[in-house]
Amino acid sequence: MDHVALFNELTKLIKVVGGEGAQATSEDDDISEVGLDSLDIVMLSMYLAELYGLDEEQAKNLPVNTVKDVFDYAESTGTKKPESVEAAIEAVK
Amino acid sequence: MIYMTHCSRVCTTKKVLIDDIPYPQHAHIIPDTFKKAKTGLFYPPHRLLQSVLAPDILAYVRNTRTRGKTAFLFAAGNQGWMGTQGRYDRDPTTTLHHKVKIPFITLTNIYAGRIAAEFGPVDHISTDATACASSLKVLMDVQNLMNHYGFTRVIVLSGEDAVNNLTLEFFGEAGASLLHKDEGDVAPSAFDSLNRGFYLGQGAVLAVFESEPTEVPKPIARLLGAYTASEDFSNPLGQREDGAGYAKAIEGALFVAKLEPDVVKLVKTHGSGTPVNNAAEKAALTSTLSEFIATSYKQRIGHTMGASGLLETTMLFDDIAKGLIPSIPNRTERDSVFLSMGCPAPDGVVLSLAAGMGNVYSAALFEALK
Repeated sequence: MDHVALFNELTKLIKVVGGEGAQATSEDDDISEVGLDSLDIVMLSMYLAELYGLDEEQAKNLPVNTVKDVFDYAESTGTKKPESVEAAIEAVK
Repeated sequence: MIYMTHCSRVCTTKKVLIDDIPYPQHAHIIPDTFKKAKTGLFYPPHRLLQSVLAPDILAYVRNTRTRGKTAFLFAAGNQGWMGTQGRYDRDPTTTLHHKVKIPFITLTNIYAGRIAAEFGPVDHISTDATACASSLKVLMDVQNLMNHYGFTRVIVLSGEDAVNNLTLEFFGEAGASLLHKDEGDVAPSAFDSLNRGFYLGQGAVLAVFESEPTEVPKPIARLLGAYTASEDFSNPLGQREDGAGYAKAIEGALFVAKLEPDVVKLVKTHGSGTPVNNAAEKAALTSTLSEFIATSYKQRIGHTMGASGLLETTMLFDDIAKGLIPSIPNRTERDSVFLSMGCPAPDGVVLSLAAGMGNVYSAALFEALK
């Protein structure tokens, strides 16, 4: 799974407009420094909860660090994983 | 002078029967806005409002400077939209049920801040909750900001969670929206002795008001005056039969615009078609104006609640540009004032009216420029 690609696709859904301007370039990018505001980050946690099977409490505890930290947390905590970036976006779009 | 330089709207004449609810009725809905709503990831009013954010208008506001300050007003109708209410959770299979996982996204002030940021730097953000008068009521704020506080550009966005299970039950139970069971006998209309009422409808409108020359070749309309009034204390919901609230709003707008009543030749009514509104609005118009024609749009697109006042006004501007004012649908009597037939657009000032639950009446006067 290309975490950066999935993060960037989710960002396009989360941002009202201008999602293209809030994109990560590597797994080491900090999600709060690529153009997501506080509400965007909460919404990101909701999308990841849907995709990875996190409950509400687990979603609230999503680490606001790097892209890698976010997906490591989702994959280790959740009950499922999307098969691909395309399948993930199709599931939530 | 204050000009409406840009506008964009979304609404639909198509209606869908919602029959898996306690008060089955048609509603003018845009099905795509409900896609995946039950997952809680998407909230239909957000999808609706985002669809009205025209890229060319966003680009215009972002890329052109204005001499003074810029404001963003969100005419949301309510402080918190209704979709999160749990009244229907006992039956989550109903068609328009939408579960919201993040409750604060339905707090309209937070949403206003989020959307305002898309227009670039703004100096003032506020959210209006004056129910179905909201989008006309904020025009009083537009005037105030421009005339007294140094603003030269005000962006107005309006939309509401107008169609969800709770609002359908609320209006259906109150006998305001037309129920499916009554459809053989009654059709949506206004100011008519037989037909009456409305369906609920999704709709949103975006408009940019500016008070200085802009790059726009020709603005859409000039805002001459706007005013919002209330009746006395006899009825907390408002709509006295003598139309005192509407009359005060009309007189207030004329006062602000420094105009006499006889210049008003065309009226976009609130026109909900309920018996109390028919009486109140007709009484106010006939007592304050002299020679005019009046039409209504709710019978075509449904009652879009907070957005309705300004949204319907932009529809009227389009009809003026075409030269033909449409009739009020389903009139059963010949009427040359509250139009039973379409007629040529008259010259003169346009009056737009709206009323909101909670004793709120708004009036705005315009000169259509296209």
